[in-house]
Amino acid sequence: MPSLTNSLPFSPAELAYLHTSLSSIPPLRPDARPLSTDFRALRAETGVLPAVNGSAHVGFSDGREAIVGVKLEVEKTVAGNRVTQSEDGAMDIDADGQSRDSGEKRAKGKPEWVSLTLTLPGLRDDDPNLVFLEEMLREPLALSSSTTATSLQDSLIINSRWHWHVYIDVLLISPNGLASYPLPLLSMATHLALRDTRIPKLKSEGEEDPIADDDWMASTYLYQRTTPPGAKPPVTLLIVVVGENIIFDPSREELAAADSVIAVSVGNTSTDGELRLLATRMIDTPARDTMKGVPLSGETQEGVDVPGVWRPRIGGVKRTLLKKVVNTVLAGGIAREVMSGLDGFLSAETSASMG
Amino acid sequence: MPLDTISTYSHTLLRQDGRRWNELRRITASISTQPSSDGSSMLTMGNTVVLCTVTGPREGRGQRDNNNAIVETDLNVAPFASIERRRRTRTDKQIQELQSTISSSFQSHLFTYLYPRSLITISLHVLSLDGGLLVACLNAASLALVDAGVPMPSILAAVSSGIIVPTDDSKAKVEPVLDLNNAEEQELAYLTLATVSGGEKQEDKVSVLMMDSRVEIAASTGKVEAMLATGVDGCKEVRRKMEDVVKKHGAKVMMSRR
Repeated sequence: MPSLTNSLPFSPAELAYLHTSLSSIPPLRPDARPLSTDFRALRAETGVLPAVNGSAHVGFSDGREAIVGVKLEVEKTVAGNRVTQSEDGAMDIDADGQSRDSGEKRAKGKPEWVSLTLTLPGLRDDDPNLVFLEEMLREPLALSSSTTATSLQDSLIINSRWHWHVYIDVLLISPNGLASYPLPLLSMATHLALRDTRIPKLKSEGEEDPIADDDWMASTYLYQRTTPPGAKPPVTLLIVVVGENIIFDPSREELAAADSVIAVSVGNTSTDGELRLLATRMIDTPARDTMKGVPLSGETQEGVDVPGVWRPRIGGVKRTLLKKVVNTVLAGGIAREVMSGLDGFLSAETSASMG
Repeated sequence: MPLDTISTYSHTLLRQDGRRWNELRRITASISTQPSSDGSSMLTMGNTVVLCTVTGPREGRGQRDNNNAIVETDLNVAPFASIERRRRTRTDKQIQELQSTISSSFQSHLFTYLYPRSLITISLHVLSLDGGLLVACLNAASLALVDAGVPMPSILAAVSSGIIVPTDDSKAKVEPVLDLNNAEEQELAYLTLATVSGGEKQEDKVSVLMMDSRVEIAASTGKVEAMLATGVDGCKEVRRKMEDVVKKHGAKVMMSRR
């Protein structure tokens, strides 16, 4: 449940007006975005912090900002859970993202090597909404790898005794707290920070203790920037369902009147360029805790709907509607558009820094 | 150590980063960085980066003062701020001390009697830390309060100053240094002070003075006096830079209204 304590709640009349507008065909959005798939403008920059391996600063026009710092630490691999090696004994980390025979075992990392913390000043560190958000951001990053895809933790292996530990620390500055659900903002900021992250080049080889090269210009990106494009971090999209309409990138007003809220994580974990569905989560809509409206004609019978009078929705989302949501994200091309937008931003910033 | 400040300063009169004793680190600042808050600023002093937002004066909740506004501070040091990653909780004693220092500094500095029964909240986010934590927080909060339009006599400018004492001869001439970075804070005695401009032809007044180091106070050595004099002069320079930022922003606002 997004916290409403930091913002004024909507009245039942406002909620009824918003719901009627959003459930019409085509939906009329309160900020006049013409399409249900339109995203709001955002500002972004990477490389903003001096003492981290990767950083990003993403801000929306309503004043919410996310600052992400990524730090890497060398950690000793626990002896009891020795990393599985390839049968020939050679550690081929450069083969990340390439398909391999299913019979051949590859070194596998562990999800515990990826840590993510989220800080929102004003909230306690053990706030359940905050902890839920943290895990929703971390879960698509640390998925297990399959025979055709490589996960983030597999690329963190140095040798059979040492590995990198990735610490992703997110700072959210939001005047509305969690009312305008910040999941897409945090997801995009984390995506850009991870693609900005660089790993120091190691002078040690094989099974030696790792020693880093002092030359930072010799470091390499955690997510390779190669042609054809390699793996990319996941992005989580937030979708609301109002009536039969599916609306992307909801604002605070749209979230307040939503029938259901769905978070869909997509990622590109292989070199074929195809986006895959990584995670889907239902989020409790804040509309459930609102008060019912009172019709002008006074009390009516129980269960009778009066048009234009607000009544909180009960029940979940239909299965066909959920399938339609996922199809819109993947087959409809929304995920590809978001990913290409982020790619375009990184290309522009790379050429700007080289120029 | 062959490369610390104490042993090399006497030969070159330059510090580890190439500065002389009275040179500030590079200071860049901007205000109105977050339009949704009442006042905001972003300050960079060397490698120390602080974001500040001010909310208020607004309706107070809970405790209320019928004569003055109440100033409260929320300081958040990001886990990635230092070279070594460390997550600081809200109950950290150093954070709480800094919060109360900043709150009491601005409680007496601002004209709070103009806003009775109100609350002014200063939110500080430290993104990168390289020495001068309290210094950067006070300067960033000052700029954010100016952006919020809260009346005050002048910008509260803060700086840190330290003292270099050769280890072999404690009676040698004292060498004050200005605006210490993290490496210098580790090895030198230093203090943090903030001053308010005294106006035309008057001396600046010290509003904040905090020192955690052990230094001889005896008048014959002149160590504390040297640090204070250096710091007060440094605060003038810092205030001049911050006033330039405010003037440029004001000119930009007037230009956009034309």
